[in-house]
Amino acid sequence: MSEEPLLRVDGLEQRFDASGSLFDRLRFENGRISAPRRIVHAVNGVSLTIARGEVLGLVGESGCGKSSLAKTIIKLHEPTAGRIMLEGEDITGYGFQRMQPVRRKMQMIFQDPYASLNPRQQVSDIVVEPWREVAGGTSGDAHERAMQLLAKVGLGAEHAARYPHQFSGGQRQRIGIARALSVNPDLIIADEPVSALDVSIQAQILNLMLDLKDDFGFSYLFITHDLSVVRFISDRIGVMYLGFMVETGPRDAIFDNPRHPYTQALLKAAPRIGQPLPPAAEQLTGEVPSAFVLPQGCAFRTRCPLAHARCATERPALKHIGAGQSVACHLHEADETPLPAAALSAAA
Amino acid sequence: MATNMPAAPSALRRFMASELAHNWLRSASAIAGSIIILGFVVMVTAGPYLTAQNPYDVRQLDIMEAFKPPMWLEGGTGQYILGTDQQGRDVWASIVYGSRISLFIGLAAMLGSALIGATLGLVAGFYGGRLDTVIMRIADIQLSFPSVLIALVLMSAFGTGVDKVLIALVSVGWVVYARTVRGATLREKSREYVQAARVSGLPNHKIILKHVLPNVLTPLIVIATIQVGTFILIEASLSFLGVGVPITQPSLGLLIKNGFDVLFSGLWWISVFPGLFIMLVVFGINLLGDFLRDELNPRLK
Repeated sequence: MSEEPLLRVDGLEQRFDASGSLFDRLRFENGRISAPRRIVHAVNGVSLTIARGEVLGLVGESGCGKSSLAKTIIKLHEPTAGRIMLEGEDITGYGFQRMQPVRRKMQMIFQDPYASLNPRQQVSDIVVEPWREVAGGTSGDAHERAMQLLAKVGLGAEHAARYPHQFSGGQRQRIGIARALSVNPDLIIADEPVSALDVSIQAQILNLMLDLKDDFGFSYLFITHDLSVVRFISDRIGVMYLGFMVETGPRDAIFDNPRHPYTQALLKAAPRIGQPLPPAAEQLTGEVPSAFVLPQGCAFRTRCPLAHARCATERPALKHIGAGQSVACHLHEADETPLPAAALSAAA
Repeated sequence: MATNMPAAPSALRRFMASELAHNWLRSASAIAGSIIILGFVVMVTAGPYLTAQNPYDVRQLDIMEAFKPPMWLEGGTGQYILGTDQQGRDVWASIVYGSRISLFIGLAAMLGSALIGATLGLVAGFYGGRLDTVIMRIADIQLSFPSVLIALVLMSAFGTGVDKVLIALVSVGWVVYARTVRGATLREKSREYVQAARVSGLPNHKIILKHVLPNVLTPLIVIATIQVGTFILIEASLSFLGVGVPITQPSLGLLIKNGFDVLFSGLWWISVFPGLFIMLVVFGINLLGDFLRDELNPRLK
């Protein structure tokens, strides 16, 4: 058997019931009373793998299910369907107790450095919290551990007794990183860790995150909507649209040779200094369809300039097209090659 | 470099350096409220040393001294500053001893309501679902009746006594904590630090106690302050109506009732001074409570 990747996610689905209580749902239509449910299709059959020491960047527009995917992988939400395997161990159905050892291997850095730290907790308590809960840390060693962690993220001992509101956004995100590091995890899920920061601070934090990865050898699932950030930090990239993974591949392949019409449009839409914006004909029009009612067939067909009849009836699966690149688009089925055993399995 | 860690500043130091302390020292009403409350607390704790007479000790009472007016009126003496009642009890001494009962009831009922209400609010807000619905519907039903009415009904069923007054007040008072804490819990629960605590492996009860509770305490403190005043008033109403504390443990409300029978015979001081005193105390508590509310929770303004 080939080497098992650190993280393997198969056909993961996440649906949220947004309908509220019975009273909120009650409708009176056509002379009949009904109480329909409103289901958000946040993640629709996503498969991905992350190897040891690899950075998988996940890009997509706001609301495309990136954060939902991340929070489902770390079991903040229970998955509706699919499997999550960490080091070959199926953690999909794990309850609170069985997740404890898993949390030692998998930690998370949150998007908002202002909301992700408890304002009433001292920094030295914040950074050792996962270590105390799941890695057997003791109160006696906690101070020393906190000092080590703060030093690793470039904060000093003088910061230990302070409260989060006494720090800038960048410093707060360093505290969040130290918290994730405290258990020496194998995988860190970073949910838009720099999007709330100033551009000058973003570079510092990204460099810190890469340095720490080189020191400790862990992997990142790095979620962002910023193409320059994903290009800087990723080894491989996944592109998401409306809860579907539409293209994955090595970073350079995605940037130099995007194959999915959505990836192409996304890259073209990013403004670059010294280059004019693409002509209007090449820009995407229309709105992202509602996640309450997914389109039949391909989710992107309502905005795709190349959509044809087949796209409206059949949902394209993510297929390997060579050089580690996979695309979910009917246009690329001609040059389809058989899937290698360890590569991505087809999306549901 | 920073080899010797700067010690964490003491709680008092941190408080004095805070914006709250700064504004407190600049708010006339907050200082006035604090002085009234401080005076009241000193009076209650030092009680027996402030009065010549123990109004509960029958041997110290002299029926010949009954109905003496306050000292500045004709017939008044310096021995009874605020006059005496129909038993010859010193009105001032009765107020001092009555305040002890009133304040004890106010504080104890506040603590009981806060404990029960905050616990229910945290549980309802954090876990949601059916439990939340049940707790909050009970609260809604209870809020549709005036609290004095509920307390009155309960007291008529229980009979008189300090313990029964406490039960009645707690049954009335928990609702406001439960609602406020539930709302604050719902808000805090959705913030990322609660998710971070989950990812850190904290069980629910630790998340509630370590992360949610400290962040919902602020509105709790505001309500608790004002509620002590409200409870003193409700207790006074109950005692005035004859369903509160027993005659052997007269609270401020019962003192008013004592003098009420003879109020229109010109013997006004027996009722009026305890009444004015309740007014002053509740006024002081509300001054401080309003200041805290404005400072700590501007959205409640």
